[in-house]
Amino acid sequence: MDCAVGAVDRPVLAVDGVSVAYGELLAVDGVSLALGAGEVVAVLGASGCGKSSLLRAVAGLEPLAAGRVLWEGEDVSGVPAHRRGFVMMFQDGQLFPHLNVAGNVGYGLWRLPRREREARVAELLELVGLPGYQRRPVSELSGGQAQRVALARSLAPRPRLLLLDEPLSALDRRLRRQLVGAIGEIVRSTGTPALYVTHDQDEAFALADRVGVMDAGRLLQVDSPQALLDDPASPEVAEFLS
Amino acid sequence: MAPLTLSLAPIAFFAVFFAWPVATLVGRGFWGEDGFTGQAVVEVLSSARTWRIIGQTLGQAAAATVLAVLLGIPGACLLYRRKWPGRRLVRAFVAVPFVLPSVVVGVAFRSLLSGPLEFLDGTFWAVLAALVFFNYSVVVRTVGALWARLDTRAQDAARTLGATGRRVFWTVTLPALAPAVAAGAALTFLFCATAFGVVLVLGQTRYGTVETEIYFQAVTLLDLPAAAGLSIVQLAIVAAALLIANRARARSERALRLRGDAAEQPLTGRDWPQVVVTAGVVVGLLAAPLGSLLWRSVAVGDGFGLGNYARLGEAVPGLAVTVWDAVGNSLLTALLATAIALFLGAQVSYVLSRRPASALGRRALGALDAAFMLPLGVSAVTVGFGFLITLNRPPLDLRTSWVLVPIAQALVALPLVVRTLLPTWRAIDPRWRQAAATLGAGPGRVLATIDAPYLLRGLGLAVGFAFATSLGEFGATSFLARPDRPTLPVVVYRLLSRPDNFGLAMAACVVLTVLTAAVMAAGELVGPPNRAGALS
Amino acid sequence: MRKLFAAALLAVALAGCAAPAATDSATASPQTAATTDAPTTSKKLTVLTHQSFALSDELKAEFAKASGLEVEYLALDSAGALVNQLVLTKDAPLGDVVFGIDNTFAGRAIEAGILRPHATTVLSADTLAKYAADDSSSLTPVDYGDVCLNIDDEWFAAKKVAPPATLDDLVKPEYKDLLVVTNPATSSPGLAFLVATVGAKGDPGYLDYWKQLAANGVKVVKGWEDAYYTDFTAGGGKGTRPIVLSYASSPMYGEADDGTAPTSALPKTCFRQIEYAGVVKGGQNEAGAGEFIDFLVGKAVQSTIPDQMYMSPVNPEATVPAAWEKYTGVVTAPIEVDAATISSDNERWIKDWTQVVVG
Repeated sequence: MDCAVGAVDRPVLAVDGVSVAYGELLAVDGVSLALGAGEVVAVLGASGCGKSSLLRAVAGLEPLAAGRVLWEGEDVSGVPAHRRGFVMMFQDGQLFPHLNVAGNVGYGLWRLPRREREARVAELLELVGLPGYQRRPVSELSGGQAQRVALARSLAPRPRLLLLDEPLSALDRRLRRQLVGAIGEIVRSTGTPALYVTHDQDEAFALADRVGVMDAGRLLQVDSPQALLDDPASPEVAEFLS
Repeated sequence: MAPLTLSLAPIAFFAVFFAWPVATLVGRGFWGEDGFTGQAVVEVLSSARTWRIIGQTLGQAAAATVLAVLLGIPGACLLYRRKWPGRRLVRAFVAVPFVLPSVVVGVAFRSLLSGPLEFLDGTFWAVLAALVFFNYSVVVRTVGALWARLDTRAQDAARTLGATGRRVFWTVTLPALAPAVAAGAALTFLFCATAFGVVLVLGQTRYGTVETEIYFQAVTLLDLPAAAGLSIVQLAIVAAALLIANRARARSERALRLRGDAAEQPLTGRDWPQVVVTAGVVVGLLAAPLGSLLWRSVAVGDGFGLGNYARLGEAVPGLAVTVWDAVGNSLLTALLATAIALFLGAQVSYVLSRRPASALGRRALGALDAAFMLPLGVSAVTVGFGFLITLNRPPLDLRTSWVLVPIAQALVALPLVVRTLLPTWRAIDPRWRQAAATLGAGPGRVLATIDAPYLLRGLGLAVGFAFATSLGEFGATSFLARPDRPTLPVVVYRLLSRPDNFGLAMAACVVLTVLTAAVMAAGELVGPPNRAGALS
Repeated sequence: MRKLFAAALLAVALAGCAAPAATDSATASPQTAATTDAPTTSKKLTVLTHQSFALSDELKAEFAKASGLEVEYLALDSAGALVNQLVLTKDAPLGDVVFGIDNTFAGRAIEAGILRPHATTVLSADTLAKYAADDSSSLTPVDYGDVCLNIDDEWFAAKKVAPPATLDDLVKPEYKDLLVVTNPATSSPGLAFLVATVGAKGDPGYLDYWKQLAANGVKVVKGWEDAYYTDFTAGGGKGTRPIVLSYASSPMYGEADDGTAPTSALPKTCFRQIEYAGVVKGGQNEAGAGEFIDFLVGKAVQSTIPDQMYMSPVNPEATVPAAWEKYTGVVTAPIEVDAATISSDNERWIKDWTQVVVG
C-alpha cells in the first residue's frame, strides 16, 4: 500500500488506514490515500466496492472503525462534518426543494452580508453557466442544470476540499461528456482539491490527475491514468481497467 | 446523542402524566390496603362475564374494522387520488367525526335511530355503524396518503401487458396498498376495541367493551382489582394492535417506491363505483347523524326557529357560564393543549423518524413509538383516577388545578400529532441534511433551515388534529377535579342532564361540530396544495 | 412554539405553587384532624361538588363575606364517581367539604371513613330524622328529588288506553313495549329505580319482577337524557315509549300556558333520592366546612334549590315556587330503603340485575 501514499510530497489531505464498518460488514478496509494542493483524485470502482463509504468517511458523515483523516497534518477524525470545510456533492436529489436556486447556492454563505452573498451567488452561477437563474424553483431545473447548481452550491463557500460522489451518473451519456469537462475546468479554476468517486473509467481518466482503483473495500493502486494503464500493480487492476 | 436529548422532555411528560398514574392505579388494584389482592384480579379474569365482554370487544372491533376498510378504500381513491373541486373540504369533513366527543355522537345517533329506524336501536348494527362513523377517516387517510404518492409506473406496465382496469387494481394497486390498509385497519381496530362513550350509549345494556366494563367496575362499584385486571387485558389488546400496525408500517416503508408529491388524476366516468359508495357513506353515515343534531337544534315547539341559538349567550340557571363562555374556555384550553402536544409531538416524531443503525436502537425506537400511542388505548377512568392518587404531593399537586385539563387533552392529542408529523419528517431526504452539514451547517442550523420548513408543511394538519381533539375531549376531562370553568363538551353534557335545556344542548352540539369542522378544514387547507394528509 | 411551551411550563409551575396548602398539612399529619377533637381551620375553603351543583354568584359572595373565607368550588364527576374519588384521595384530600353524595352512595361514604361528623343546628331534629342517612351526623341532608315513572298523558288519551299507576301495572300485556328506563350501572336515576323495585318487591323478589318487565319489553338505555329526549314520546324526539323513568318535577317543564301539563308522574313508583353534604376528614378547614354546610341548609340557599339544581329543599322554612310545589307535592309516600342496606347490597343488586336483564 505504500505506493498509494507515496506519490505526494506535502499532502493537504491524508487518509490513513481508514476502515468503515456497517455491523459485521467492512465496507472500507484500511484505505490510505493522499491529496496534494489543488489536486483532483478520482476513486474508481464498481458499485458496492466501498468508494462512496470512503468519501462519506472523509466528509465526516460516517464514523471510522479504524484509521485517521488528516488535514495539513492535523487529525480531523473527531471534527463533525459541518466544521471540516469539506463540501460534498451527491449523485442527485440533493437540492433543497423548499429553496430556489439562489437559496441553494447561497446556503453555505449565511455568514456573509446579503450584498456579498448575492454577488457570490451570481459569480458562481456565471461560473457554472447558469447566469440569471437565481429565482428559479429547483423543481423546474433539468438534471444537468440541477447538477450545475449543486456544483455552484458546493463551491460557493470556498471549501478546503470538494468531495464528489458520482455527480454525473444520473445523467445521460451526452450530458455527462459535456459536464465532465466543465466540472474539471471549474474545479481547477478555483484551485480546490477534489476527491471524485465514480464507476466510469472515462470520467475518471478525463478528470483526474491521479486515479485510485478500489475493490471490495481495499484501494488497489493509485497512480496517474497513464501509469495505471501502462503498469497495473496487480492482475485485478489490469482486469478492471481492461 | 441529539435524538436522545430531544426525547427527554416528551419522555418525562409521558412518564409523569401517563405511565406513573396508570401504573399506580393498576398497582393499587393488585396491592390494596390489605396487601396483595391478586386473587381478586384472577377472579375477575376467570369470570364468564369478563370473557363474554372480551369476546364482544374483539368481535365488534373486528367487524367494524372490516366494514371501515371496505368502505374506506373507495373513499381513499376518490378523496386522495382523484382531482375534483371540493375534495379537500370533503377530506376535512370526513375527519370531523373522529374528533367529535362521544356525548355528541351518542345523541346524534340516537336521534337518528328514533322513528323509522328504531328497530336498529340498541342492536349490534347501531354500535357497528357508530364505530365506522368514528373511524372511517382513519382508513381513508392512511390508505389515501399512500395511494396519492404511489408510483404509477407499475400500473402503467400492467396495462401495457393487457390487464383491464379491474385486474390492475386487484393485482398491482391493492397489493401495493396492502401495508397501508393493514396499518389503517390496525389503528381502526385499536380505536374500536377501546371505544367507550358511544358504545355505552348505543350498545345500551347488551353491548359493551372492556373499556365500558372498566368504567363500570371502577366508577359504579369501585372495584379496583377488577378494573386493574381488565386494564391489563385492555393493554394486551392495545399492544397487539400496535404491534401489527408497526409491522405493517415498517413494511410499507421498506417495499414501496413513492413519489415526493401527490399525483392526482382527473375524475372520469369509470369512477362511478367509488363515487356511489363514498357519497353513500358521507351522506348516509356521516352527515345524517350530524344533520339530526341540526334538525333538533332548530325544532322549537311545533315549528322551527333559531331561538336555541339566541340563548347561547344567555345565562342558564344552575350553570356558571353561558355556552359562549364555555366556547371561550374550550378554545383557551385547546390552544394550550395544542401547544403542549405540538411541542412534544414534534420532538417525538423527529426522533421516531430516525433510522438507527443498531438493532438495539431500532428496538428502542419501536418501544418509544408504541408507548406514545398508548394514551389512545388506555381508559380515561384509569388515567383520571390515576392522577388523583399520584399527583398529590407538592410540587406536583396539580389535581385541583385547571392546568391538568389541557395536560390531559394534550396526552390524548399527542399520538395523533406524532402520527401526522411522522410522514413529514420521513419525507425529508437524509442527503439534504448531509449536504447542509458539509456546507457548514451545524445541527441547529440544519434543523432550522432544512427540517423546520418541511415540518411546517405537515404542521397545519397536526395543529388541526390536536386542536380539534382537544376541543372535543370529554372522557379524561370529566374525570378531573376542576374549578368551575367548564369546556364546551362538559357544558353539553350538563345541559343534557337537565330537564328543560335539550334544544340549547343541541345548539351547543352544533356549535361544537362546526368549530371542529372549521379547525379540521383550516388544517387541511393550510400548506402546499398537493400534500397528502397522512395518519401514518 | 418554544415560547408557548415555556409559558405552559410556567403555568404548570405556578399552579403547583398555588395549589392549596391543604395537601401540605395533610401530608405532614393526615391523622391529626381525626385524632384530635378540634377541627382544623384556615382562611381558605375548597368545596367539592358533583357536576350538577349550582349556587348563584350572589349567594357565593354572601357566604364569602359572612365567613371571611376565600372559597374555591371544584366540580368532580357524577355522584357515584364523587364518592370513589374521595375514597381514593383519603390520604391527601382534594378539598374540605363535599356536596352531592346521595343516599345510594351515602352508606359507602360513611363506611369508608372519609367524613368528619358535623351536627348542624340549622335543621330541626324532625327534619334530620326524616332525611338523615344514619345517626352519625356524617352527612347532612341538603335536598331531595323523587325519581318516578312519568307518562305521556296525551299518548294514552289518544290511544284510549288507561294509563298505568303502579309497578304491578307495568308487567301487564297492555303496557308491552311502552316503558323505557335507564341502566342502574351507568345512571343514578336508574339505580334509584332499581332500589325502588327492591323496596317494593323485596330481595330477591325484585329479580322476578325485572324478569317480568324484561318479558314485557322494557327498554334500558344508558342515561336519563337518552331515555327522556330520545325514547319518550313527549320528550321532543321521535320516541315511541310513553312511559319513562324521570323525576316527579319533570312534567312541570312541559307545562302549557293554561297550567296543564301533557305528562305526569306516577306517585306510587317513586324513590326519594336525598343529596347530602359532609365535612371531609383531614381537610385543612374542617371548621369552615361546617359553616358552609350550615349555609347550604339555611333558608336563603334552600329557597333557590328548585331553580338552580332541580331538587327540593329539605328545610321546610324554604320558599319554593308554587308550580314546583304543585308537581312535586304529589309524592307523599315514596318507596323507602335505608341507606345502610343500599350501601351493603347495591353492588350485588346491580350485578344480579345485569345478569337477569342483560344476560
